[in-house]
Amino acid sequence: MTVHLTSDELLAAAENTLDAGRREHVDACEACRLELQALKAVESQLRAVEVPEPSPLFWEHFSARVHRATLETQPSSSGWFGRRWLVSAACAASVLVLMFSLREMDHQTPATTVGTDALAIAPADEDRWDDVLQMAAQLPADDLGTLAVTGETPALVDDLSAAERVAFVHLLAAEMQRSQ
Amino acid sequence: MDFLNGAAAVGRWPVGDLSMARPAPSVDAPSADDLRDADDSALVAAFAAGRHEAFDIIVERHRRTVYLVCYRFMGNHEDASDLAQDVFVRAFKGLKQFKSQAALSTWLYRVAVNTCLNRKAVRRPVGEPLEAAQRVDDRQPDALQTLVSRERADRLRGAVDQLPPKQRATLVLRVYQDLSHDEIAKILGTSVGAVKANFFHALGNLRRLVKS
Repeated sequence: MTVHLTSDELLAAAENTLDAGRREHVDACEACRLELQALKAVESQLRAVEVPEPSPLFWEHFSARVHRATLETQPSSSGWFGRRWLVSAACAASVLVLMFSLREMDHQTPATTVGTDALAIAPADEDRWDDVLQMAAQLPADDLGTLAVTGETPALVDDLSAAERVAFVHLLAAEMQRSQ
Repeated sequence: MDFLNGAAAVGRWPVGDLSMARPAPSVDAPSADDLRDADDSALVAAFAAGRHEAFDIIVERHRRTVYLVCYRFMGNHEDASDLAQDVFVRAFKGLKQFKSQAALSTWLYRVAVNTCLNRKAVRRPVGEPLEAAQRVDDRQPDALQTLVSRERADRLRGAVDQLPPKQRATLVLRVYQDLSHDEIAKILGTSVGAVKANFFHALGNLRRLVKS
């Protein structure tokens, strides 16, 4: 009398990887054959339980959700990108502050205005100015709505003089530091 | 003032939702299309190098598999969807520590299984205990026919829920993901022998539940 199949051998038999010699035992042994059939039956019943396939739209939304969720996990870089709404709001506020500041400057006497030399735009400031322009162009419409109240648009920043640009960069920096 | 220097980082982030301008990629940097054709290890390397859009492609490539694993554990779309998202967030956080000796898919399976088991441990499924479920089906004239019905499918899911975590994980990966014992051993961090034993015991336990 040969030994019955072990659990490993039963699994191997179910997966059709059992040795030929042991397969002969299965053919000859009713107990092992029944055991094997029961094992296969449970597995096939499990496989018959299907998962409803999500729609293509679900996958699009899923990827977008994951993307947003991963953005929120960004620790330091989120200081700039994750809190984009804060940056945008700060930019809008800065532009608003600048507008009022410039108007105030217009009403001041020449003696109290800042000298042109002091405001001469440095190369570093030019780089920053490019960044500011790029940033202003990307402000969401909602933020720009604040400016639209006065009938002015981001084109306003194009009209600033070199001195005004320097002032704007400094104002923006101060605003950003306050908002962080 | 460093606050504007952050603009340089725009190029490291996917444009998708942000509408932020990106600097022109350098000559050597692979384009987004190149990444799309890249294999998983290249995507991992790109991600480690700061190409975060590589992760979007990883998500796109593996989202269905991860979702299916989660569904098999949770048994419903809502939980599976939430958990699958959780899996990818965890993967995002841990991907830089991922060692490329293993396949990314193996690692993602591991993250998915751990996430599912943790959730299951916190929120036990509402279902009958093993013994109670065993008694109910004795009067069914044709157990096999009934098993293909939705009610029995739910019941089978409930039975799987009652299995010990390692048996459940092994069963899901073997039956529903068609992974080899060796692959499952790598995912679960155990031996092939233990995987086979868990699988055998899982089937045995389920067999008792569905026996008519």
